[in-house]
Amino acid sequence: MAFTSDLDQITRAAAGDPSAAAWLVDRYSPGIIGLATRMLGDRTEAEDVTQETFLRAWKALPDWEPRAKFSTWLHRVALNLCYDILRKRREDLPGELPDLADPAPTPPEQLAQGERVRAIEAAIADLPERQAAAITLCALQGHSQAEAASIMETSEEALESLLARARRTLRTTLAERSVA
Amino acid sequence: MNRHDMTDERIFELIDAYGADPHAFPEAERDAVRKRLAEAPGLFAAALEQARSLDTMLARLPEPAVPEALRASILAAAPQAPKPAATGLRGRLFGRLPNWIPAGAVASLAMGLLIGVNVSVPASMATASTDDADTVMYAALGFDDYSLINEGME
Repeated sequence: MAFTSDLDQITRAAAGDPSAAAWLVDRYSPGIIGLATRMLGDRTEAEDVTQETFLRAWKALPDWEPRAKFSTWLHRVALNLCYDILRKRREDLPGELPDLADPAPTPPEQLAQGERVRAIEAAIADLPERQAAAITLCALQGHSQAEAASIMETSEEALESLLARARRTLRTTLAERSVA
Repeated sequence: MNRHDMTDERIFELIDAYGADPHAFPEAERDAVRKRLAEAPGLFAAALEQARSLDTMLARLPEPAVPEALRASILAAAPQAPKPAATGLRGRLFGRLPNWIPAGAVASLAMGLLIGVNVSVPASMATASTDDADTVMYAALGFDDYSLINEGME
């Protein structure tokens, strides 16, 4: 059972067992950096978020509450760090509307695979932040509705609404960019 | 919502939010959705096709890798195990002290012994008579002549 396994590793990592710490990092860092990359659209910032998330985790381990789910807590920390960065961007560029899709010119021909991937990543990063979080957690990372809602500190109904809006926006944006 | 409440409108909502794969739907509604999709496949075909197109694009996205340097940096900051208490004589003498303190004490002891041996060797190897040695000693105490002391004592 993943939860029990997590708790065992958390206990050992808190006691300074390097193999347990490595287990936690290897298990959860791909999801964290994936979430941050999709949210921010910037690899360097995503790595910073990943590092800061785990630094906070290391500090929290000695007082870890066994009832809490480590994965949910970790993703929530990462998500809030992403929100902070996005908020800072808006403050630095008050004239911009970050929730709008990038009006990139439509390429005349079918996009190559690499360009297609980048276009989809850009379209996700251009979504309103909560929509980007919802689509990343559910559609890309396979979290259940309950997990994703808990990470985002919202209801499952609100999550569903965010997902629907995210998918509609993505379809429109990708069609405009000749990706769909 | 249980299977008895499932409506076509609700199925369109689910496809709109979660895509074409019923595995992505809320668990409590999956069976009812599957049953209705099997009953009326044509009704939902267009919505499923549109959703599947986006699902396929999202599935193509590679999962970002964690750079080894980042992994190493994170692990370097992980909690460290407390150092085990030293046992035996060293542990009783220095167990609660930082490592550099016992090392410094040993170095000081070695230096003292070295100096002591080097200084004491000429004296121990001296061949001068006892009188000569006494003269030197009393001269150091401020007497010019050893005989003066002897006279005073007599």
